[in-house]
Amino acid sequence: MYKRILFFGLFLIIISSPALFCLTAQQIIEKAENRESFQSTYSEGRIVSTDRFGSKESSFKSWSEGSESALLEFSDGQRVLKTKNDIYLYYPDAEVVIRLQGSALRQSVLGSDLSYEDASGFGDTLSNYDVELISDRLLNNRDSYLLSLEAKSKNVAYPKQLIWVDKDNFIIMRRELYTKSNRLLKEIEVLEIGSFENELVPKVTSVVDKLKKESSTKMYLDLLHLNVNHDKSLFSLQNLTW
Amino acid sequence: MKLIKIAYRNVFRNKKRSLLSGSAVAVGAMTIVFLFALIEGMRLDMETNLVNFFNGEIRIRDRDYEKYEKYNPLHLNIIWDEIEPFLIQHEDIKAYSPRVVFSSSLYINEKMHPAIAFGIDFALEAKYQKLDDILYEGRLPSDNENELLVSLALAKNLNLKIGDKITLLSTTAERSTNAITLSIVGLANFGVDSMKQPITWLPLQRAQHFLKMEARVTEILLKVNGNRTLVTEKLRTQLDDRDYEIKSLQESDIIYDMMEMVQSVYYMIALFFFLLGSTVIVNTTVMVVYERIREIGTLRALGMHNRLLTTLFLLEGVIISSVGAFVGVVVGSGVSLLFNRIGINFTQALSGVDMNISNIIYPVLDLKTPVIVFVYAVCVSALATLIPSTKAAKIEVVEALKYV
Repeated sequence: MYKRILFFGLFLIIISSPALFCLTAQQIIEKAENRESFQSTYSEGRIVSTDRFGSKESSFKSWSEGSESALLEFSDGQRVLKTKNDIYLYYPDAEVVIRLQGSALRQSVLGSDLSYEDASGFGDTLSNYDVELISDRLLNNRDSYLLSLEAKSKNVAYPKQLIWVDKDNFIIMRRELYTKSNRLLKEIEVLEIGSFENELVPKVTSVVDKLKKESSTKMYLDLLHLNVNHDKSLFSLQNLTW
Repeated sequence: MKLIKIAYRNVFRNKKRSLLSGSAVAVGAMTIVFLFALIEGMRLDMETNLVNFFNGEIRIRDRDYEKYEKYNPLHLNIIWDEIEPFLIQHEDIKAYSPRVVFSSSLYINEKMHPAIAFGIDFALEAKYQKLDDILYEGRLPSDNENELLVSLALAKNLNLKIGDKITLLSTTAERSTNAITLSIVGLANFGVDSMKQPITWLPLQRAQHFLKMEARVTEILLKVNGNRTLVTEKLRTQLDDRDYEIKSLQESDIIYDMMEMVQSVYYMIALFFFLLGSTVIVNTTVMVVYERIREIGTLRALGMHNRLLTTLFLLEGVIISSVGAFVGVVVGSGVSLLFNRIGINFTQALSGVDMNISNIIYPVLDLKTPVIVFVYAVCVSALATLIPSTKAAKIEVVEALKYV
């Protein structure tokens, strides 16, 4: 009798062990997003975009606080401010700050493959998308989770996404962005991971807008400081025009 | 001489019939003269608009600009300082206008509105075309000031007025983006439907600064002395070592080129009109022949040759068509000259037609036109009378005398 109970107990443990140790799609997304969000950052980097006419490089400085406030300053003087609900552009020769809304958010940043919408981040995935774990896949010889995301509402830029999350470090290594009818719009892939202040973050990222011919963009992160104390006014409209 | 007298007298034998025949030729001639004047007016108007606003008589651009035009390729440009001395010295060049043409968005009340912008050197532009004709209200922008001239249509659509400030956004020559705020100092009435798009003119230097293309332009429009094609060829040879595309107006604008080509078609249309008018003369002459068959029989019996008889009827046709054509040409010329002063408003007919033609067309009477139309009308109408005239000459004397 004891042997039967022991056998049944062992059987239960064996069949339930994958469920105990495997993560759900929601948990994978949470882990990936948690590791991406820092209290505050200061970074420097470059955007190299290539199109039919050749390549060009722009450098940038970036300040961020949480996931809602960010300020980008490009070498040509253009500044982009992201607040909780809006994105603002500042140009030195313009007397007004331009608030981007609607289709203008899809405009390219410095002629690259990256839109202002992309640059401001992909937001809270679980609130906006239904997620499903499709399979474990190898991506560039690394074990990854492949997840499918389907938008819950029309208020998102990309109705469907496929994302590959690295099993070791939970970095989103690749994103494929689709229309509702499964037309591929954009591919974003991490080409190199770097370590800054003991944190692993994407160092080189490639963005390819599939709607543009002969076009691609690489983003290089050259410097990253984490948990920096920013002045509160840094992310204000007044500061943007200074 | 006697034959002419007889023919002249015969014309007045049935005044109503002669009047009908003459009127048909007159209406044909009048219509053709006016039609030619209208077409010439349209052609010249189109040419003026294309030369002043779009193509110049000759246009110089980067060799690859046209290929990538839809991408707003501001980096495919011309260094103005390098070519200006050459243009100043060139004996065939009458005037030139360096420009930067770019697509842009106007940021007004938190909304983007597409617009085509032109960076213009207003001092050189004043030598290139009459700016007073364009300026509807206000003044021209000053060099190096953040000032702007906007098309009347744009001002109406967006409720803009002089003194308003608008922010212009565009892709730069470095293929980045930039924005600049400019004050509206003038409203422009370009008068061309295709220039009724949202169009803005700003000082060339400000456009160059804003677009990060210092001392560079996207195109240079030229007005030249003499034959455009020959000057174009000459410039191509002289500037062969540079990466320029040099095109004459005919090469740049297909519609204009076609308009020149189809002029021969208009002559065909004119021929059709005269033949139509001539049917009345033919018809009248046939009736006259039958009416005067006894007279023909008598003349033939008295020994008048077939040829003389044919000539007599032909002369009658020539007299009627000459008078008709003369009256038609005079009236047609008068109507053309009248509309040349007051113009014909085609606003409704041309709305949405992208042909670079002004809404008000002023017919232009070429002095050759009335002469050509007159000769043409007389010849066609007279030749048309040959058919019944020959028929009259062929009538047998015995047959004709039956009617005596």
